[in-house]
Amino acid sequence: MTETPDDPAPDDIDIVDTPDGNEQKNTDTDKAAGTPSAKSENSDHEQIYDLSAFKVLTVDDFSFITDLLASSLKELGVGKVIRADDGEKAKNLILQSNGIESGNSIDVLVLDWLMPGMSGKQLLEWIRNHEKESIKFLPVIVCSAYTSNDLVQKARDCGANEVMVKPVSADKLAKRIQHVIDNPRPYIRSPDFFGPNRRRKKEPFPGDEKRINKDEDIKQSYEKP
Amino acid sequence: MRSRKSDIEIFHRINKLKKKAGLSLTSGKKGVVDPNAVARAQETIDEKEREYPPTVKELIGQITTIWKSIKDMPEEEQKQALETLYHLSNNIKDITETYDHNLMHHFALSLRDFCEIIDLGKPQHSVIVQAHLDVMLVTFEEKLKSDETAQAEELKNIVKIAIEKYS
Repeated sequence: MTETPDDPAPDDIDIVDTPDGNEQKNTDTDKAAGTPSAKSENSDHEQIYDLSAFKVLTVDDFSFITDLLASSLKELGVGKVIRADDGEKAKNLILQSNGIESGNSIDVLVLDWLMPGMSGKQLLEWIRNHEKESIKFLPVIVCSAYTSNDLVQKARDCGANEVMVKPVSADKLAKRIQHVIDNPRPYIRSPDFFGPNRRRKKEPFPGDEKRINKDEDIKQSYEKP
Repeated sequence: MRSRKSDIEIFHRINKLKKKAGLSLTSGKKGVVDPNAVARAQETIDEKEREYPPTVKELIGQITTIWKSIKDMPEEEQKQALETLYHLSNNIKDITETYDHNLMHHFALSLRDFCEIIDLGKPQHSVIVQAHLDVMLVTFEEKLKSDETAQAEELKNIVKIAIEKYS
């Protein structure tokens, strides 16, 4: 399958929210920007996602699992799946794809937590500390067989967007991808953390505008007493 | 001096992925991954189970080879080899849990966890590792899947006794 150019939005720089909400987009604008249209309606409220323009990187030291993830993602409709069997190779692929304005960015990273050499944790920390926005805001689904709350907490503290517990199944993978698309969390920068908001917000943000520092309740929850 | 509040920044970003997946950001509609595609993806996962025997055989072979040579390695290489053993056991654990090979999963998990505390200076630890490798080979050769049969209990007991006696 051929690769589709990345979203041609002119910039990726967050701006301060304005009273007139000038960053609002509508369907016509989306179409004009060349984004694919959803394939069909599933119900009144749900449409089938078209993932053919998506590029996903899977990282696992065990080639059996990367193959499994890659073939599953392809079946789910993901247009381009690339793989790395260790953290260093993943780093290079991320830099190649997202480090420059290539129009060929990785959209989602599915990352094994427990790897020899550079671990999933270290790669995630590198991503969240990177200076380039196209890297530091990359959605990351951490994949691990550890089921304890401790791992989920650690992954969240390092900036994971989602955690998928092994064994891998198509349903789990689809749900995590869907969650990344449907429920993007605001990113928080505090003195000791950068990553997606770790507190679930009651009212989801629709993602139709860029804004900074509008949520006093989230802000307060991160401020140390 | 900066106020404490200015230390916290919140970034809401345009949901480019939703746009890329073909949905309007303003319609309020939610999307879903095609359920038929999910079913097909699960089929590919299930079909891959045919690769289970050669994959696990190779992993057990790699563990055995490393274990046989580990005592003759320089100390620094031994550390590296133990880490490799840990990850190879973890890989067996990953594939076994994908396909419900519960008995092999039990031994792979046990061996992986033991790799964290192996002291190569203690000869009795070698007995525990060897006990794991022996039962894993039997489990593989006999194609034992469930960890609840009488034979499975017997094999689990071999490892349990070795751990209790030689830890």
